[in-house]
Amino acid sequence: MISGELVIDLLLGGGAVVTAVLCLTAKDLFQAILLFISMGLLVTLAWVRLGAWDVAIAEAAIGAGLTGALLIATRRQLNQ
Amino acid sequence: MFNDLTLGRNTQQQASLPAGVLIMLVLAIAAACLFLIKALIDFGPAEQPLVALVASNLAQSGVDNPVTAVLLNFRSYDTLLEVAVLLIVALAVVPASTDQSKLRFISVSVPTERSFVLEAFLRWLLPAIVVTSGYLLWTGAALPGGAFQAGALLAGAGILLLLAGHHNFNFNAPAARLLLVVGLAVFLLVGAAVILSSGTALAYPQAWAGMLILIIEVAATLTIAAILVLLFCALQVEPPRAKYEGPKKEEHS
Repeated sequence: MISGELVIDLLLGGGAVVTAVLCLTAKDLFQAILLFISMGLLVTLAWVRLGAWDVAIAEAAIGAGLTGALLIATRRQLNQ
Repeated sequence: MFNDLTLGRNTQQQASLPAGVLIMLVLAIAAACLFLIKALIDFGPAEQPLVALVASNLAQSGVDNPVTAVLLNFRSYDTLLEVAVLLIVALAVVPASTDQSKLRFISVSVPTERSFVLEAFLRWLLPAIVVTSGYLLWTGAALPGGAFQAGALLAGAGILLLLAGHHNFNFNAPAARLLLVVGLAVFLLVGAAVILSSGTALAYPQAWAGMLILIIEVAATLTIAAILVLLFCALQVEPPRAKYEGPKKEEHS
């Protein structure tokens, strides 16, 4: 009854929510940034599953990649 | 410091709520989420009048990708304002001092720490990123892709170049300032120039639409890449300069 695609979709959606919660509750700032990047990649896959390829590419490049780089640079500034 | 602040507030809030209330809240939210998920799965394919509307007008947009058609033709005013917002962000973080405006945009320097793995990797990766970015820009007319994605990729290449440490970008240089505004300038010029033929701003003549959209997208890609790299540059201050500018910055903030 439950198809394989639905399982993948539920895993992606659930994984995104779990990583988001972990990101918000992480004690270490660096850990939180890494979790944010992994959440971005999971959301990218979710966009792919929804067929929104344009949003998926933008999310992968900006949401996961550039924002992660900016956050890591900010963390280095905070530590100085 | 910031991390401790938010964490402290979280623990205070958790401590103030009794456990019974928390369990009730969790159960209520979980039930609502489950209900919404079930409703979403049961919900059949909805009536989407916009999809049919875009599909029926795609032929006169000049491009074959419906997303690009909406972004740069049917709703190009929104995209114009997005580029303008990006320029405002760039103005907010661009270095205020103009004493470097005579220097060149890209300067080569010897890095304090060399990472040979990164350098060797970048020799292969950077050309590939630039070509991929150009491909995304070109293919945006027919397949998923476009100015934002291409610009973000190009900015990623710029950030990797910065991380290798051999090059520095000086965003006070005239060339850099040109890069920061060229997207909005070209967009506005094209939008104003088409008044001559169609009478309405940003309403491209059908025969030229594809070419005009490509010109706007090329300029927007360069601007988006430059602004995103500028954002990274504004955060990354080299140790000697950070010490030198330290007191001045604290006064401003």
